[in-house]
Amino acid sequence: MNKSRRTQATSGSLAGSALGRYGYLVPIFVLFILVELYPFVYSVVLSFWNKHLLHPNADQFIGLGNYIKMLQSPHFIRAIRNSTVFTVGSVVFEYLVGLGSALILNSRHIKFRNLFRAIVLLPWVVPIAVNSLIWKFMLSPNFGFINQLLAAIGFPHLLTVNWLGDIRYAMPAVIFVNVWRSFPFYTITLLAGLAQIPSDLYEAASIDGASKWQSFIHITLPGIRGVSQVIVVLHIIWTFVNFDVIYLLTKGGPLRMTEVVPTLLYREAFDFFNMGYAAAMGVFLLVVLAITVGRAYTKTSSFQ
Amino acid sequence: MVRASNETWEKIGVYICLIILLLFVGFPFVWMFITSLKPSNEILTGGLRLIPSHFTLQHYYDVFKYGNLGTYFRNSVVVALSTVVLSFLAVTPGAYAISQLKLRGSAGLARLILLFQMMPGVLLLIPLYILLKQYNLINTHWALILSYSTFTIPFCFLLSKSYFDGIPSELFEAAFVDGCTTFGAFVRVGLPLAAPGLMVTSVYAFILAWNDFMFANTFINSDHLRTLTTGIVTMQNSWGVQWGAMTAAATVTTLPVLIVFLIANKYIIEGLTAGAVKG
Repeated sequence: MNKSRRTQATSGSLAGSALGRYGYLVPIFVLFILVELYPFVYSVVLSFWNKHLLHPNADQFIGLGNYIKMLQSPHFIRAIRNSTVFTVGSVVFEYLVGLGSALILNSRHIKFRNLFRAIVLLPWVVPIAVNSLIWKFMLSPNFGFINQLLAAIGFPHLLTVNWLGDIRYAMPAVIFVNVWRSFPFYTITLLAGLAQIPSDLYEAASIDGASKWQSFIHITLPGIRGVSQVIVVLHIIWTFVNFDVIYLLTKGGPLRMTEVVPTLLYREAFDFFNMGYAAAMGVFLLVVLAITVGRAYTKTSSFQ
Repeated sequence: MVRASNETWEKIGVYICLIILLLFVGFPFVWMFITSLKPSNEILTGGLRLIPSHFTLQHYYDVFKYGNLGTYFRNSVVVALSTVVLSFLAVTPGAYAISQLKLRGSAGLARLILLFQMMPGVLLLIPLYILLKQYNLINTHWALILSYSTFTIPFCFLLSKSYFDGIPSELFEAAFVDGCTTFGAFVRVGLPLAAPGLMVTSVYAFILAWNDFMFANTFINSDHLRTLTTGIVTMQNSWGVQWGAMTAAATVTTLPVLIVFLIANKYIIEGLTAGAVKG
């Protein structure tokens, strides 16, 4: 009796205002179309046009013209190569540093774990504009802290090196700063993953005479496989499309040694106003990501 | 006996690693803060010395007096808070409806929005610039508030939906039985129960908006409209190597994020890790 009344009332009030219930979706849907869907479609269309903001009357449909021009441009080819080096280098070292720091914080000897976890996350929370300023200062030739430190511990010839301005060191230097800024995200997610591995697995292994190294290989690594996949996929995406870090540290220099696709795109769009050409580069970024990690991305937990 | 000393060595090893980790992460911030308090002549000549001959607030005075740091600060607050309000108003009802009202087709919409989390900001930058220009919104704070929605919407939607998912649907059904409309249930049951989660979502949206550089650098060209992140980069270009002033400005830019983060860090970290660990 009671149950049937409830069902009736529920379905009654729910069915009565079907249209009204969809009303809740209106705000997010309108904003989503306005700032995401429409601009996205617009930029795909734009990539098939010759659109130059300084010559507004010269708009012209050119089919794949922008893409052909792009793939024939040595600057673009170099930017793809740099983007790949930057992304792979960053993600590999971020993972290693992230895993190492997660293992340290996960140690049973550590007290105040939450406090240290919060401190480690700081580089990730602070604006990139601040981080890049700090590191430009720390990595300055002669008076910069890093150079002074290197000189003090026995490498005086490194005192005058301009890490971010030297064609040999600029790419490793931007990767270093990017790793420093991004690894904390790996630390906290891997730490959460480590906490989910049942401790009896380790006990059983140690009773069976497994060494710490064997436990690490056969229990820890398989245990964090899922988390690792998610954060690596996310960071491949975030690093490949990242504009701020390199723009703020080197603007793509010296001599385009750190020019990546996003900074090249920005230069084309907002220094030269070649909007169609720049849009084609943006679409290219998206297509590369969709082909390489698209499937892995849609498999991540948030889609379930 | 042997075992105990092994334990001790392991403990010492772990703590040495921890100290190295904390120095690696924290020292650059400490150095920034100390430099902002150093007398100008000691910044370039002080070498590795941590403690200067005396501390001074001169650089902080300078960046507010001769720079526009106060204006940048106010603009950052206005833009970040407006972004939070807009995201909250747009996302919360949708997240509630998709989570609890079992609408047909809502799963598809949710997936579409999530797919846009992968969208490169630089790709949206170009069409947004052209569109905002058409509507005369370039060089206004509206340009920033709207463009920040491109990254706050997917993120806040994902988070707040998971908080509404966590509320047992029986509570809503009971409210309907008692004669609540869907809106009444949203206001009286949904919002109060999801409040802690929605707070975290808002804090996170605030940090994202506060930290943006790319959109602000592209859409704003009047100095009096600049936010802190672009403001300190502009100052770097015009003030050059006055590192005392630069580090003071950077400290001011960092402080609000730091305070917000330290207050809410436990919940922020839980929110961030929840999604990844489930998979």
